[in-house]
Amino acid sequence: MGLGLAACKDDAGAGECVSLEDYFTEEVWTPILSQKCITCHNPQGEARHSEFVLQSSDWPGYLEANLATVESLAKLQYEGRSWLLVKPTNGDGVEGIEHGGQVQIEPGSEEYEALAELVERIENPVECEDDESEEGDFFADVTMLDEVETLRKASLSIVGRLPTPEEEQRARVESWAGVDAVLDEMMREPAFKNFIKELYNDLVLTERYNRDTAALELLDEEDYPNAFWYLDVQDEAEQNLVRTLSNRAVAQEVLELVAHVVTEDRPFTEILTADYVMVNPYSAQSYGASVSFDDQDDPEEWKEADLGLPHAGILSSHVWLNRFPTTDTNRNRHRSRMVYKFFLNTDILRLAERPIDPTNIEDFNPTMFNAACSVCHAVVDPVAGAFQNWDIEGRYRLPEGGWYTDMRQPGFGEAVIPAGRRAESLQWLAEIITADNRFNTSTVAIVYKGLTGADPLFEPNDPAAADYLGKLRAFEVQNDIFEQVGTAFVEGDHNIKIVFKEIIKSPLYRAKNISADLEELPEERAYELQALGTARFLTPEGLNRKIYATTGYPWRDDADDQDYLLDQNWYRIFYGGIDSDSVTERITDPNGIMWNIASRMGNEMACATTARDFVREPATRVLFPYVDPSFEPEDVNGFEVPAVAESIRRNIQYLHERLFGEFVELDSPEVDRTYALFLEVWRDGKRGLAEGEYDNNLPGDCRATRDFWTGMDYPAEQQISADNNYTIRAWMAVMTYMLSDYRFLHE
Amino acid sequence: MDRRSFLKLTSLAGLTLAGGAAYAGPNLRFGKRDKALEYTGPFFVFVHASGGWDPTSLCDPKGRANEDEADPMNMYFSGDIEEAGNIRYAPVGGNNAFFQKHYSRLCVINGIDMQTNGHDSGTRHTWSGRLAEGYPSLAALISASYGRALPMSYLSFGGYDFTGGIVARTRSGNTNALTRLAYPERINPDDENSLYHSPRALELINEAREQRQFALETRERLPKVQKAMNLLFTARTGADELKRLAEYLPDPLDNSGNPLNRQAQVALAAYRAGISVSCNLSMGGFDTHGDHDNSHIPRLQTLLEGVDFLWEEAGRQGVQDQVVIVMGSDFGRTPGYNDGNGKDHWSVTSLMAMGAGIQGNRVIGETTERHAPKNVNPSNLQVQDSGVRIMPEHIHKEMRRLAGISDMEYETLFPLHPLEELPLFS
Repeated sequence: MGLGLAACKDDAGAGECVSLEDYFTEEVWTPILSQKCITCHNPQGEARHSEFVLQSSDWPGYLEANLATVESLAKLQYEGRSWLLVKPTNGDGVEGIEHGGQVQIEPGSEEYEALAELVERIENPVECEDDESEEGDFFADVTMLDEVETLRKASLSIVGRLPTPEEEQRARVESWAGVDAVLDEMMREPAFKNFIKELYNDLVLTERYNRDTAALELLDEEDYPNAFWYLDVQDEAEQNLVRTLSNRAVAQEVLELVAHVVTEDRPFTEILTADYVMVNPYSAQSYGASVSFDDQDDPEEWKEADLGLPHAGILSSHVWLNRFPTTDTNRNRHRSRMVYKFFLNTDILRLAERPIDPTNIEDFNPTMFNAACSVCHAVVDPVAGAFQNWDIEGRYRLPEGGWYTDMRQPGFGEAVIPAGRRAESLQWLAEIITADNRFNTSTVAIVYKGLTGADPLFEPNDPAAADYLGKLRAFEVQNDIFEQVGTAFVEGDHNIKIVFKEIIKSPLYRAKNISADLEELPEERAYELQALGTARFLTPEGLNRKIYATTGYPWRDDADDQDYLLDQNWYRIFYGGIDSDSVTERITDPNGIMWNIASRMGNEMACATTARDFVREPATRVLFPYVDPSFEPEDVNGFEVPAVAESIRRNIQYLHERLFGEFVELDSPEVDRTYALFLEVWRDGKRGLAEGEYDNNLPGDCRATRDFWTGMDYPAEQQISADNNYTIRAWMAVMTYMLSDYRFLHE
Repeated sequence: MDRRSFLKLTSLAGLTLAGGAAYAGPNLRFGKRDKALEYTGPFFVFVHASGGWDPTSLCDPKGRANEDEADPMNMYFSGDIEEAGNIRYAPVGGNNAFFQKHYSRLCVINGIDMQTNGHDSGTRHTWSGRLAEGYPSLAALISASYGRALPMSYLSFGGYDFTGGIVARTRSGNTNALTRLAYPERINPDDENSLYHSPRALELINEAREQRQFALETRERLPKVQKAMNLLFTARTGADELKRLAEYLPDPLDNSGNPLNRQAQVALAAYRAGISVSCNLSMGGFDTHGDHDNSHIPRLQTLLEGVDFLWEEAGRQGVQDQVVIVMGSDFGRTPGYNDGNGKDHWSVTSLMAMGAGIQGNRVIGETTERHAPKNVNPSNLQVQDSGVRIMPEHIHKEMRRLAGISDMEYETLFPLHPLEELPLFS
């Protein structure tokens, strides 16, 4: 054991008090029950009909539920001995008691002793004073983002812009209620819809079909004879445009459905229960759906449509069914696995991670009858059967002769699809899934990852690891928070915006520092904190939004070009992004190439935006409102010009806030450092100009001669090509330094 | 916070700082190259057959006795099984060409007990040596040990490439964009005088970055934030080395359609540039639950042809004697065929290794006629009922030793403790 838990089990003053819950979790659940017993004793396992059924860690509140189960079993006695000890030892000599799994725990072993102590603790429970404040204690030494800082971070994430001064003021004055109100407003913006689509595409990956005619080709010719309706368009350019828009509409119908449910404030369960598909004027024609639109040419006008099929939201979508295909022998198991993964917070493959022995698998039809196989198949196969009416190509086709008889019956767990609903089996499944508590946990986990970039923590499964206890505590705290958010989600009629707001306000999102040096903390505490905080290296999409939000310009050559960070032929893949096809997993830690991209961006954007910002009137500048190119920090004799120096410092202070979200004083070391950079580059520039080493003109790409958006030349008097004071290039150096800083590249 | 404290804390968080770009690699019998400030040790290439390959169609052949055999292991006949040196192989696909050419340098390990038939867990077990989560791939471990700061230290094209934050992995994208990235300070990447900032301004920017980095390290104490800063710092340290890659990239790249060939070319170019230590190559299509032979055997052939291309390309680049290649998969496939002529998941598999430091023309381990693993004597590796079953943990223990990273700092963070040590590569 050696976890320091046995020091005090029943009296104060003899050491750290260990509650029954902690003892159960650390000494019994993790090393014994979660490793051995749950393989059979789970809701779908061999021992599912026994009195001892355990829930795994993907179930909200699983520890409490399992402790309750164990307590009731421990109190059950046979000839004076607890069933918790008699059963796993296969009776241990008690006549008439047998265990279906034979001997799992030897009497006298360390595991047996742990169970025996648990029985004793259940009979004589210990209450520790701090039992109720675990979460609060966990964050006691953690400093959090305040309301304004939190709002900035969230705003950049979900709508890709900085909060307005009015929004910040509201957060400042009304505290968290103000943050809630501003977030509610933000979540009505079009940018939030795009964020939702991006977030869910990382899961469903249906953007794979948003190219050429990939999505339209998924539509069956007989079912949708009008799929390629654009071929009737005579004008070639128009035909190309219509083809692209039609294909995109079909490809994005799943993402549009999710966005529709969110923006309309519908219960989020509708992403699975929707008895319609989303169409715009273009896909409506491909589907042959009779839907009326306000503007028959507007690709952004989306409507609900019934295609005469038993729709079940995402589950019955053509793109989803094809993105996660099946075969005659796979029998929809892959689709089933994805349902569990995306909507039930359950990774089926993790169920099979407990060691199995291949030499013990000799059964006929092992997926039905061998425990090593049925641990997964008992879960997967019924849901696979629920997809029975949707064939390999994603078409609605009732199976001739019914579903396979050598598999578990279509349904969910023990529940079988009623005979009267077999034709609409996915609708039945959607109702069951969305009523399952894990659907709520799944939604919380997805939003959490979307906001933080981090996968939710897993329950650690190696009690021998040095960081086991620390990881376990961190997992439990996160689990508690997820459960609270999930409860709020349910109470709020499954409005996912509640999940966003609650996660954003949670300490998991807001943790920014700790008050003590790590080296001064006990090792276990350091392990607890290991995964806390976001420190997210921005995705290509996230960095792209931030560049635009903070500098006022996108990173691309011309207004009509695609952004470098979103273009697969440029930096999207190198910067860790996905193409939803062959590259489906993001890289979240920067490598040398990613740094080079960030470095190039810092140089190019400094070049592109500095002179351009000076073209504007000071009041409308986004980067340099306090200075002018004529502001030189020293006079000809080398003496500081105090008023100018202060203006430069004020602008640097402003840039720290705008680009980093850092609120620093004018005389802070941060402003000093940035000012020193400006000053030294300027001094070197003045020297170089005087000695003829440097040109008076800016490099060609860095001149401001035309409007970026229109391409029209600025009036001659506004154009900036020369930099006679070398101040523009000094500010360019500051911009490069800041745009490639840790704080700019992370959020 | 001083540098020493920072080192201690990052170590606590499972990290260390970059030790610099130069490293000569493990002390094995590899040739030396004369460039400074670059990695010159052996290049470790891990080839993943994604989906679970079928060893009985490759290097652990079974076959069937005759056409009447019920529930045959394979459709080819046992009597047709072929040999190259000491290695027996299935008489299908591209096996003959591959094994006859490479048997003398090839070491086959059969009868590996994967203890799982899940894709993720099997892949993890094969390439990290541990069934449970949390251990980095061997490729990541080697890269972290020898060249953490190199810009493409760990190049991954798929497979299990979890790093645990000890080294950054790099993914290949459009190689045409690499030149532009290699010179981020140039407006025109082909013109060394075309700069955004003067050389002095660049120096000042870098100095300010260093100072800022130190200031942030001092005041930001969350381990995750420290780790993120550390990774960025490390990435920045090696960024200039990317310039060398452009020198070695073949132009044009392979267009044969074999997905492994182009991966191999980029990987070898990165290695020759001295900026890469290890690499994952990967190709899918092996999860053949239906129509197994017609689907699976061509994939195996493509895989073997890709490995052969890698070997030949290494020869053309003059680094063949420095390449170590390990081929593996998630697990094996079930004995016999299912109703759809497919094969399902089976937790017994094989692994093949070749190249520098590998003793060739060897087969270690055996399986029964129904592909169950047999035990081996831990000393002489001969089949012995009372011996031990070969697990990925045994193989990784030996591969770590082969790579020369045993007891190095990162290796000790992720210890393996098999009950017995098997001299697989000795």
